[in-house]
Amino acid sequence: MGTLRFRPAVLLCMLPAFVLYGLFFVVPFARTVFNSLYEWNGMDEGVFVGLANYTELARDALFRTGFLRVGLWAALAVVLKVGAALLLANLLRDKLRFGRFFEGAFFVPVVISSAAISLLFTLLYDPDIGPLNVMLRTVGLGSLTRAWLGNTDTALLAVIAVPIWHTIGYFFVILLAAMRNIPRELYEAARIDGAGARVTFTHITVPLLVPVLQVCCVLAITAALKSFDYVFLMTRGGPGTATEVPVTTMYKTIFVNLQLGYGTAMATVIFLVALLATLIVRRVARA
Amino acid sequence: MTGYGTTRRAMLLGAMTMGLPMAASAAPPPPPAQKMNLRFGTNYAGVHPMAKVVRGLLDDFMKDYPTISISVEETPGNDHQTKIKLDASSDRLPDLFNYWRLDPGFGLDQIARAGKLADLTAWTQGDTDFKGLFDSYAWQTATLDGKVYGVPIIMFYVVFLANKAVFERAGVALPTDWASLLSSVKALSAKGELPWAISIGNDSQGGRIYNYVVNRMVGNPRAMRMHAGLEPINVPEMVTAARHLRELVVGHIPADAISINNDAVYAKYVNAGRGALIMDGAWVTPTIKPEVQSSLAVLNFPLIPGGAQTEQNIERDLTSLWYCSAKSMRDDAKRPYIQELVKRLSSRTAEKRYVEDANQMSPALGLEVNESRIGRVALQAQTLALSVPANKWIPSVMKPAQRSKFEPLLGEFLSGNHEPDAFVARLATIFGT
Repeated sequence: MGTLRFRPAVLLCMLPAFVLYGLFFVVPFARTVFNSLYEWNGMDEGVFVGLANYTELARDALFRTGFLRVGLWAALAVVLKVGAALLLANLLRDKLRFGRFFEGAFFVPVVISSAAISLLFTLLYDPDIGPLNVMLRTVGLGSLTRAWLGNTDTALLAVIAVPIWHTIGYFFVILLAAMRNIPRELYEAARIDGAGARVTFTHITVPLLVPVLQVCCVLAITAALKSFDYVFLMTRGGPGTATEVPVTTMYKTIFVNLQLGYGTAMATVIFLVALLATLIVRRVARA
Repeated sequence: MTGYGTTRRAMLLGAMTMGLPMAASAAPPPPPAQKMNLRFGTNYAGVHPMAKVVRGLLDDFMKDYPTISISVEETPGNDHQTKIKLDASSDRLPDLFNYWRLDPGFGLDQIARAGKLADLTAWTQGDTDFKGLFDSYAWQTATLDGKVYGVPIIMFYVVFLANKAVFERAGVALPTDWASLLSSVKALSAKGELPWAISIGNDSQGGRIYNYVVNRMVGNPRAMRMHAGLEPINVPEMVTAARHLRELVVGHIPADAISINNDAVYAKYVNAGRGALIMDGAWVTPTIKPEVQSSLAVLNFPLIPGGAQTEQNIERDLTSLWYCSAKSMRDDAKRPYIQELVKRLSSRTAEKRYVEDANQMSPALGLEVNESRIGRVALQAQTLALSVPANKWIPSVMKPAQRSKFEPLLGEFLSGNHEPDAFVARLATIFGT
């Protein structure tokens, strides 16, 4: 690997990017960390409290439980979203009849806004008129019907299912593009050696996709950590606190309770957890 | 003559003796020469009965002041609280907005104390247009730390309604006391009818029932002290109240009661003729379809035997006020027009429209209203509301952070997730008592 040499002219060209990055990420982040050391309602003068917000956060059961939920969300997102996208991309890797149609069909949900999708699924889950319960009743499984979003046992999974379904197409196109870049000679050589579809998938496709899969996993995990819209629009963290995740708790703390110091401490912790999760994924992928 | 009419006439007489015939009001300012824009923040939006009336008043204002445009920033329901708090923290409050009282539960007290709200004391006390317009209680409610920050708009009271058609369909008699209320919800459930058409999410109709049961058991002043953290809440009377509440509500509400909002209850249950009992703020009455209204009976929420309240009370208070941004009122160019708009929106003419067109209860004194325009259910409910002493709304004393823990907990409890004693123990952890 060659050494990257920075010439002054190159640095000058990169300066606008550095300035923008500094203005829109570094400064706000530093300000967030600074605010998290204060007890502040966003209007009065804040009171410096040191790390008190963080010690309180460590005792905040709702915030901790939120991370467990989001951990489940991330795990399911990696397994189901990335997994399903990988399988679908593998199916459509070779040019098939109607292949273009399926590529488009899998991607269509991605272009619909999360607000519209959340509303759609809220109606789908409706206990009385929702197609899900109607279908269950029609096929004689009426005993399985329930208020999917109103039941503490099912609400979280019902919410998680929505973004997973919604964004499979996004990962599908990333993986499909990566798969089509794998040299065909490798598959032909494997076929000559007698390898079947399963073997070529596990021994050629997946290993060569590891860098892309790593990116997909990082995206899936960070998306789970950041997910706000689906929860907020479908349950607002309810029933009770059954679908409360760290970002919804942070939103309520800052914008409803006006506890900006405590809320920014939450934001800092969420950022650090996302960073840690990304590093772990990269380390695991490298191993 | 109805009780409502009697009270209104008494109020009118009171207002006249209090000084209606005093000095003339300040002349309205001429239209500004330069174009001007005023920002108006409101949750009177969508199906809210006040939306159309207030829009009409704004349009009238813009006709009289063609160089002024009003940008209406609508945020429905309680999201309006978040919008105003966010605006305040970014120092861009609307020039004029409606909001709830200055109680801690709504968070406006912090905004006022931070100097973001205009102090209206000198203006409201000096301008003759406000003389005798509202009683002292209304002005006290608009006051914080000795300063008047708001101008009253409408009152609220809680209506308790029964859909007679549902009761008749189930062959169950309308409840008249606590025992018959409990037995009727059970009988309705047994007959496959929905006893309560309510939501139990945050700031929901379920909370109204909680307030009633707790007030009935421990009395409103004590309930307020308990929820303000000034008196222990983990006491046997509260456990009994929680037990009563569970018996009355749990298992007798819609399957999705915890996941739908208050408005959806009307679309899905009340206006579909489902749900025997309705409890909500009075502002919703106009949103009930006329054919459903025709079979509604207005009820008293019964007293609970052994409870602290031994006479009928109703939850009633001033609920909505106009507030102005301090920054806007410091602007000499804008101030006269904001003041003129506030005066128009709180005038007797406007208040009359709030009563007659939006079926709200007005805090204005000296109002002559055409009772036939209020509607039978709203009129009966208002008559009842004015005939008994008022309870204050319990969550008004909670801090926002406490309220955001209390409401999900109550939702869980009304879903049947906690035993009464465990529920009250958890309340004690929220309110620090």
